[in-house]
Amino acid sequence: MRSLLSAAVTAALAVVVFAGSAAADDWGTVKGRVTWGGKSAYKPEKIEVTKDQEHCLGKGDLFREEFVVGKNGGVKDVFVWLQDASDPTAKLPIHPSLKKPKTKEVVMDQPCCKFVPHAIALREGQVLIGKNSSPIAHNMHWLGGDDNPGDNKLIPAGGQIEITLNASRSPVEVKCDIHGWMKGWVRVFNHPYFALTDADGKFEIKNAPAGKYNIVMWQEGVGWVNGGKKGQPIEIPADKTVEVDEKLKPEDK
Amino acid sequence: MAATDKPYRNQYRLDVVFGASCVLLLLTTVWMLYDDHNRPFKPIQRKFRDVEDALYTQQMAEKFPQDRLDKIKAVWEEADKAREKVKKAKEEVATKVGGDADAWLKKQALEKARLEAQYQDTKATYDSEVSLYNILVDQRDNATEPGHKKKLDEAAQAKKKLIAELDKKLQDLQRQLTENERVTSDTLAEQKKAEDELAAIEDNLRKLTNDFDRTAKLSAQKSWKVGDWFRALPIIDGFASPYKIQQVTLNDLTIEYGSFKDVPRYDRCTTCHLAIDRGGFTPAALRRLDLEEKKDDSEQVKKEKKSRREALQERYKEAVKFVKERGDDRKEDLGFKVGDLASKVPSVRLSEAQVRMYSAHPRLGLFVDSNSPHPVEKFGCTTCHAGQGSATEFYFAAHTPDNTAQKKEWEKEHKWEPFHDWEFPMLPARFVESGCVKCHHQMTDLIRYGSQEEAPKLLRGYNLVRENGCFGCHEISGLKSGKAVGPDLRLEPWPALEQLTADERAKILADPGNPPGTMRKVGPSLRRISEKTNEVWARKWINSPRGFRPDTRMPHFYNLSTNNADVLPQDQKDYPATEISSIAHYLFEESQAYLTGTDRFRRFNEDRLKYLKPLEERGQLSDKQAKELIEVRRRLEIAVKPTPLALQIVDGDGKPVPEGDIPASSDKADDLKAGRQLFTERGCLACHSHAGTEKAGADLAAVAGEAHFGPNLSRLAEKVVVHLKGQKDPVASRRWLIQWVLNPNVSHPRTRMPIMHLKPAEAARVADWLLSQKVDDREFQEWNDKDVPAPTQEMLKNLARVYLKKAPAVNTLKVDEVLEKGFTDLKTEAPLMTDDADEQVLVNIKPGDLNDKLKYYIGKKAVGRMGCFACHDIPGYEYAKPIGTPLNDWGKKDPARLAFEDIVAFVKANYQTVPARDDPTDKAKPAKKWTEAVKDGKKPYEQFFFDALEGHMREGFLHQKIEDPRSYDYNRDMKWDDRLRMPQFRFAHPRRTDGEGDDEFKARTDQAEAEAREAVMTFILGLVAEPIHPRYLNNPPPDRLAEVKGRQVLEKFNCAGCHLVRPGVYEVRADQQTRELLKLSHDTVAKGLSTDYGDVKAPIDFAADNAWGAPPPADPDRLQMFGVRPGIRKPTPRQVEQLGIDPDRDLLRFRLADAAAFVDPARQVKVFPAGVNVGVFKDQVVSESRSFGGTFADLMVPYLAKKDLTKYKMEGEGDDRDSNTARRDLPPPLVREGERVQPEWLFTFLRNPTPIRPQVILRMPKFNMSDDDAKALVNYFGGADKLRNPGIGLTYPYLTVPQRDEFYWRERSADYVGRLEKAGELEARGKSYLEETQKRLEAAREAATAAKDDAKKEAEAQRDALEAEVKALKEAVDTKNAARLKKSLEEAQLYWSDGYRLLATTGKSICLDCHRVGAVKAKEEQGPPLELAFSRLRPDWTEHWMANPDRLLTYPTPMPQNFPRGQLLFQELMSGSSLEQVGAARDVLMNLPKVADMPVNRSYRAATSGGK
Repeated sequence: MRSLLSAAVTAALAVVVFAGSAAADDWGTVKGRVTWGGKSAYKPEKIEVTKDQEHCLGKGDLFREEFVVGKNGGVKDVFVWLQDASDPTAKLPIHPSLKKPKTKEVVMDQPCCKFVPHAIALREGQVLIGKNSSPIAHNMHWLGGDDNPGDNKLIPAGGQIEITLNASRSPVEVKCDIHGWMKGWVRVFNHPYFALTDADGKFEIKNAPAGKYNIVMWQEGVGWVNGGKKGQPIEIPADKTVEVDEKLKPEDK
Repeated sequence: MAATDKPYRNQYRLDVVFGASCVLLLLTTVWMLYDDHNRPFKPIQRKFRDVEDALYTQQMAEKFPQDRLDKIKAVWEEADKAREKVKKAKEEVATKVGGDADAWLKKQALEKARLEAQYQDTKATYDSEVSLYNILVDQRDNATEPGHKKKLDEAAQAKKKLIAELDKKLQDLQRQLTENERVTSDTLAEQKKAEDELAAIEDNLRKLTNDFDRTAKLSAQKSWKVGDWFRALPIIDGFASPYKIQQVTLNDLTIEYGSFKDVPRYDRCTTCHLAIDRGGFTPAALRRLDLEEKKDDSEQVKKEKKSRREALQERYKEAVKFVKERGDDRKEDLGFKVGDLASKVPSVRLSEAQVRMYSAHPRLGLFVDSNSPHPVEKFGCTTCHAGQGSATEFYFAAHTPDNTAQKKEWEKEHKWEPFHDWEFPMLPARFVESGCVKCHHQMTDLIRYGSQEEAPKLLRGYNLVRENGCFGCHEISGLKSGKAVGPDLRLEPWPALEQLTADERAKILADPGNPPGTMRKVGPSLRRISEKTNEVWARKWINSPRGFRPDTRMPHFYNLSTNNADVLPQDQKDYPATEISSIAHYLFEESQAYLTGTDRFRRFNEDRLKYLKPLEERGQLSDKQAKELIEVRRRLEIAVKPTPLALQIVDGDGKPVPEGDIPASSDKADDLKAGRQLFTERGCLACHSHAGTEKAGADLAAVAGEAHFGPNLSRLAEKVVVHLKGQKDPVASRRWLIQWVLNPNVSHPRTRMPIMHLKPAEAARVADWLLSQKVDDREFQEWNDKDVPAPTQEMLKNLARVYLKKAPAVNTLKVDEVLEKGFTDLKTEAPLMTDDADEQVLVNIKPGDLNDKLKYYIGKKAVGRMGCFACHDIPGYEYAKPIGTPLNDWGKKDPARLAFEDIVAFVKANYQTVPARDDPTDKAKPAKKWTEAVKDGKKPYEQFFFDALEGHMREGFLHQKIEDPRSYDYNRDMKWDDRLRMPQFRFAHPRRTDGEGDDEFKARTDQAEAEAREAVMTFILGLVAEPIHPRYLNNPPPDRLAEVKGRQVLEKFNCAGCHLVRPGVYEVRADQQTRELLKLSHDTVAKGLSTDYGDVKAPIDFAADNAWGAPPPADPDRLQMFGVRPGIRKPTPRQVEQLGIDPDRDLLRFRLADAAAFVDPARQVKVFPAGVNVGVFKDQVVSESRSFGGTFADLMVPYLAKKDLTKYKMEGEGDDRDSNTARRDLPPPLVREGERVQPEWLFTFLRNPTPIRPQVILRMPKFNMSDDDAKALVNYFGGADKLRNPGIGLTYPYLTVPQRDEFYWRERSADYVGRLEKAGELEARGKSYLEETQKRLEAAREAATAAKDDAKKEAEAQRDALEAEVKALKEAVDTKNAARLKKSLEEAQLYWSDGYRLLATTGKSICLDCHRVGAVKAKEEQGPPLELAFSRLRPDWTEHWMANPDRLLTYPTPMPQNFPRGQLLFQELMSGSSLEQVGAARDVLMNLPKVADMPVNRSYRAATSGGK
């Protein structure tokens, strides 16, 4: 009985939210940049490669990717997304052009003993392809909490596997146990309003619903970047662009 | 006198007397009947009828399927239609047969019966004729006379004809019968179909209303009816009363009435506890029966009752209407009269006492129920609970209240008072687990399902007794005149069995009626104490062990309530100090003597040998002396003279360490850090704790271990201080510690501390760090400043006098003289003194030695008096016997034989009684009054035990004996050596929490201690030493017994300190929402597991292994799951969104150790494989037993992650945070160890562990373990896994590896070639193999040319063989002759070489990324070398492991799934499906030496691994 009731309430709520979204005809853009705010300048850290050196170091040294900071201080691979200001589980209104994801598959390759790209933001429904284009064997070991239980599979040279993931608030961590230093990250969303910062630390979310929302950022080295898992409130103006700049402070970790 | 009819007595008077006596008789009869009507159990039973009535009626209302009425009505309609159909069909039948179907059917049946009878009849005739014919034929053939023969022949012919006729008739009848049946069934076909349909619908209907109908029927039966009222009336109920005594007769579970004969047990408890076996009668349900508001109810309660009553009545009305509709209108057969139902829901108000009386026994699955392991018919009640079972009244049954509140309640309600006339009053609820000991002698057999403790309090008590060494003084023998009577806890013999010769061991083990004890002494050996510490420290320690180490197990002997200086009489005031100094003196003197080979034991035996040997040589030995000589020689043989540490330190193997290998002492930061790191990482924290590691420092993370198996080492530096001539000797102190860390067996041969495989330099670093950890807190300083004052000679004499006066050989008149200068003239002073008397030390002493000799004498006496040797190995007490009362039958000790003395006065003077110990809302917190009592400065004392003490009950005595054992001396005028000797133990050692005040901490400590004390009492009260009929003893079957016994060894060596041994057990209520939650998780998991070998959708390959398969739950509403690493978390947004659950509701989440089945909302059975995480609602978890073991690994994971974040990265969030790489490098979980390893290997490994995994931070240490211990552990793992995972067909302690069979070898070879052919790969593989062989041939040719002498011949032979092989292959390939090619490849054993390629091709085989395969190196060694698998791993486990490693381990292993099901990988190395490849890998591993040695593999390895 109770479950019925709560289901009814949820349904009712959903209707209300949906009704709201149906009315949202105004859309704006969120833009911004995340820069390094550490006390000392960022220094890339070389990885000590313990096996398959010939191949792994064939394209140059490998560096730890916990932080990837560009020359002008931009931090790469910060996940940025929007979420309802009060209820993190509420559905966001979706722009008609974004109803469906553009591509079906997103590839994470292991060409030279690192995951390329190192971080991926996915929309639920897209399939993650774990690929190994290198001449040596790798495995892909992913763990993502209750929503994405994970598995650990071998990908022989030239092979690939398909991974279906669910939208989740927990990130999915990807690693290769054969080469212990290899790490990658995937986050899966059930809406299109997310982005990853580029090498300059820049990101852009287009066609976002106008109104008051929260912007959430997460980066593997520090975790939640600003305002914790709830994020920080922003107001998205209709047909305009709002800019959000953020400093990444590894000391806050 | 003439006869007269005048009566002898006056008739009238007689009539009056008669009349009066009649009236009297009538009155007494009435009185008797009336009294009988009111026998105490009768009102109880009458009331119970009300309870039943109310309960079932309420249930009926509750179960009324209100929400399904529509559905039911729809089914009714269906049923009506079906019935109509049946009716129609019947009518059709009737028309078909011409009107009356019944008559026709009867006719058909009659006809059938007639035919059958006729058939039987004819058949009988036929049989008899056939036999007559046979006789005739027989006679005819034997007849000699022709006429006769002919006659017989004719007769035979006639018979034959007759038989033929009969046969025809039989066939005819058979045909008629079949026809009859056909006609009947044809005619009824339609009707039958309609009837079947109807039955199915009715079945469906029954499912909808079943629950309701059952309760409705019960309600109708139990409602009071006129007949019931009548039969229950006074007087009437004297005849055929509905109320009677219920009783269980137990002829084998006798009661032992002292020396009388054992008498059968009659338990009448169920006379009043009427619902003891009825599941629905829970206390909550009984309390809910009360619907009427009463004056004393609170407003809230009144409101609740009102709403509940109204709702129920409303519902009930509907329900009755529903029943009436069915019974009256629809004419359903309900099994009861509708009129019997009550008009409204009755209300019954029960007192708490009544609720308890009428409620069912908890956990019916385990107790009372006839399907449980303890059915009431077999075990009765008093067997476990005690009390007088034959009584039918509360008082006489000897009920015992559990606490003060209950006592008050009973006094009010039952006029309760202690019942002294029954020897075994009922056990109060808090001690109810004591009853288990009677039949569960192993104690560990009370641990079910691996980690679920069925009697946690009792087990805790048992463990405390074991850990604190109570058995050292109090023998707890498991045998009484050869019969098993209880747990066996006795000291092992000295010397230990392992230190004896095989012959001597066999002798000791030969007597089954008196097997040797098995428990080691719990304290350290004191033989070498002088190398470890000093006399000053020892004095302070004896004076107050807990002052130095608050959580030590060593009890207090001094400064107790009745032997401190304040309360002792004037003449005894100095005794404690004198005695302490003397004990310390004795220990150190004997220790030094032991190290130089001059201890008293050795000297005495050497003296005897000197005396006896010449006699032997002269042949003058008496029998007694001959025996003594053997014994003396044996003793001297055992007493190996030790090498002092000053001269030599030995390593873990017992070899002397070169002095140069031990670095000099260092206090450099780096060295100290190294020491701390070794101490932290090498496993010390699995057993010890140390304050020094609890704070981060020296670049190392904090590790707050709470292990308490070994001593807390925080203040070790203050203890290990050796004195040389009164001065500190740091070098010697350090040497002792280094030796202890390197090989503790040197100083303490029976220690359970293992050898940790440290190098001497490492041991030195650990020692340096430990010795650098100074403490200077206030508590320690107080203790340290308080040395025991040195005794004067006068004091020594006074105390020595006490003993000398009692010494049997000493002349009491001369004692004072002896005390002045020792024994000078034995003839007058001690004429009878024996050679081994303690007094010998005072013989012929030098004048300056008197003080020391007196100290030695007093020390020796004191050690013996107080039984120090019960826990410590002390020279001079090699053969001493336990000094305490045996405890094996203490649980039934007659309280009249306990000396309560003035104890009540003592308790009144020293304690403050408090009604309850715990806060009723939170049992972990002390009650408010308890805390207040602590604040007042007096110790709190629970009223329950005070009452028990006042009432002279066992519980009271025992409680006080443990709390303050000496207190029974209170106000007694006692001589020193007559005083009580039992020391004061403290069992609980809680840690102060942050910000906890002194009083709060004290109150909590006292409460924890009270709890622990109760646990110990629970065990001791259970020791009743009653020989139980073997039928009742828990005699586990072999596998279970192996588990039970092995668990004891696990505990003995603290295996669980490092290893996770058993997963936790979780029982979960599976309500609708839980099922939905599980289904969602299952869907999520299923999505990711498409390549698993037991597909979550339908287990396929390894369904019999419980890592993949699980039977459907026995009770779909109650799930049992095995899991590890539980954590609490909130539902994920996805779960909230999809299931509409409260986002704040807690989920308990764990990783499944076994597959778990559940029933999903659509009633489908679904299975989670092992290794996935499952979350269930915390509030639906019915019972939770945490996993057993693994503390050290859990402690180390965050530590390692902090130390090396790159290598040991933490994954996950919150409770989940963990690092699987760290787990890989820590002691492995032993869940499935029995499945994993070969028993022989495990046995050898346990006795002498060798390294396995290359990267671990610590190695398995070498334990001081006997063969029997190792065997028990091997069997434990075998037995436990066999029980838990029957599908895998585990065998132990022996194992055959079928893969090593010659036949198997050939079969695989043939099979593989067949597989190649089937896949169309035969030709290609033949070609490539030919090429490979040709290459080998070339190499062989070269080798043959290069080789010389003997080797040449061999090389040539190889070359020739290869040439032949190449020739055959080439021909087969060239001619495309498949049969010949097959034969060649089969002979080449291609399966085995291809399998080897799969494992060991450099650059291609995936295995070599992480594992070494024999001589073929790994890229980077991350796992054990694979050749270990040959001797270590079981074949099945190996196969399953390679198929999907994640299923079999309790953490996500770094080893990937290398052969995902359904994917074709590595085909260039070996052809076949992934499962076939897994099988090949297993086969090769199980034969690795043989396979690696195949010529083809040798050369192939050389070719691919760079010539290694």
